[in-house]
Amino acid sequence: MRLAPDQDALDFAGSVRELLADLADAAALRVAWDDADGRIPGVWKRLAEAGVLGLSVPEEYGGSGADLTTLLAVLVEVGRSALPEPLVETIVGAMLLAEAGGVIAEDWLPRVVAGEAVIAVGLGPGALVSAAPWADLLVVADHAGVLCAMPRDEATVTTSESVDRGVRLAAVDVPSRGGSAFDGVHLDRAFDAGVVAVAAQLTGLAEAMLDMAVRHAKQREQFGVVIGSFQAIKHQLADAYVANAFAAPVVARASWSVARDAPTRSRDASHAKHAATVAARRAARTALQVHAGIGYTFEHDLHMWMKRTWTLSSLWGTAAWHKERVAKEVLG
Amino acid sequence: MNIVVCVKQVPDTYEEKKLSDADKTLDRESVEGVMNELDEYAVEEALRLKEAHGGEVTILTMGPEKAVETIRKALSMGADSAVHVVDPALHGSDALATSYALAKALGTIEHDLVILGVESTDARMSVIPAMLAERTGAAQLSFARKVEVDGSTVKIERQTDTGYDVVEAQTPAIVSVVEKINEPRYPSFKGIMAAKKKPLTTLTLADAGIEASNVGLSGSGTSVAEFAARPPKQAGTIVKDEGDGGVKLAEFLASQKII
Repeated sequence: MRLAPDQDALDFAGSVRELLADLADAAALRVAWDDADGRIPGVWKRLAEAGVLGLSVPEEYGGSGADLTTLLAVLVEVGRSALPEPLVETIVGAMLLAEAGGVIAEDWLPRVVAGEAVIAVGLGPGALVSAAPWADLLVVADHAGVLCAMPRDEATVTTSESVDRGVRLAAVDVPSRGGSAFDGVHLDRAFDAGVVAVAAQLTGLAEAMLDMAVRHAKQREQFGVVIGSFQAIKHQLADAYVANAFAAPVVARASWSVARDAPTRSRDASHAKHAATVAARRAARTALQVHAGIGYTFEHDLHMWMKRTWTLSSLWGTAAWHKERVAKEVLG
Repeated sequence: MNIVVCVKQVPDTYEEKKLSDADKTLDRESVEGVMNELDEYAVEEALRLKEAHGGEVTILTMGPEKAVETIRKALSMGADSAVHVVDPALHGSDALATSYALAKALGTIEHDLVILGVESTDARMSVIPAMLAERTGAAQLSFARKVEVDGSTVKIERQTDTGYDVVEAQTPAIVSVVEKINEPRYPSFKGIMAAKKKPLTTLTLADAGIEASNVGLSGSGTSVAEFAARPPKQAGTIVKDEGDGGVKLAEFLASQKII
């Protein structure tokens, strides 16, 4: 089992990192947060052109047919930039459509690959659907609990406030149609893919926050020396770094299990989400302390990264929920 | 229309660059190498011209083994093939020697047009396009912010301080581009996968017919005689305004010959 990303995946992640640094930096993020729409103009299209949106879409629909292990390094970069775009939702939605096949896949997947359609999915625990206000297509359960897909304007979407302005949440009410386009589709596998995708983003977020904190610790002087020279600062940072460095291989293993549909898939996915969440929350807290609390205000960039961390911590199942799931699998 | 794009690997713009004590040349090993930013615009323009008019885009670079990373990036963006001139004897070549070696290498590639960025971020001399034009006898179309091709006619808008000039020439021509010209694409996943299968030719001095006496440190007309680290920033002068702040400010500006 090889868990480290291959050279192609690393090169591609490097390309995406450059793209996001140019087009979706902290200043752009700030504008999106303040904006009613909440998205960064143009970046979705560029992600499509670079092949991010089609990466895991089968080749017959114009994608690259890569699996989650290839996507992983890209998702870490997306986390690093705290990108407020509905990437995970669209990737998981596209997975479901591809598995369902038929007209709905032929209609929607080429549009996803081209960056012309956003999908929001409501699979997991939690009543609010992230990215629903942005979606062209909703993949959500109806009143009877049957998963169905429909254009957003056919459902009732009620936007809800989020502490993280980089994500837009909504309650979605869809009329029952009596049948599902997803009969026989492995919903739990798609759910696990989403869980791992978010875990990967969390490791990227943690790296970014630790980078900010380390930069600050190397610059800020107190008592005539940089504060990073104090053990009280550097040991905290080292511990947070180690926690995240230990979470990353767990996430990589989970992506492998999801890609190959291994028997331990759900356990591994939950382990990943738990480990990545704990590490990222620790990185957020440590970074906040190292910045002497200044990330508390929106005026500091760290604020946006922390709130994204908290949001992703609870989306696709909280750490506690996933811990429980692991316990059930392990202990029976 | 077959196009050659000259690209150069340069030290990352945001890293501190060092000269080596031994021969006073740029230390390329100790810093991260990236594609010279303006060359990305050159590659993009070549790809756009190819998409509109057909033909092939060949990347030409001269530099150490490590420069192959930059070649791979250009191929990932969509260029068709690459030529890498690599030889220890080229180390230390100045602009004149580099233009000689590049001109020789260009001779091995069939082309109508050569596109380059106007300057590299490490040397910042902006002379290679002009030197190449002189050496190859091709027309020089410099500082282009727009390029149009019609048959064998190449028309550019040359950026000036006040606006632009329209300049036109027949192929073969050498075009240097400014960053206003386009927005370079990012290597796509499919591009990265495809790049591995694209032909990369490596040329030594002998392969390209380059005379060793014309390149390298000894073959260069210029060399670095001495260098020193930039002195640390001096503390500024603080003028306390006691009603005469304006006068003092004017005196300072006058003493610096600014006014």
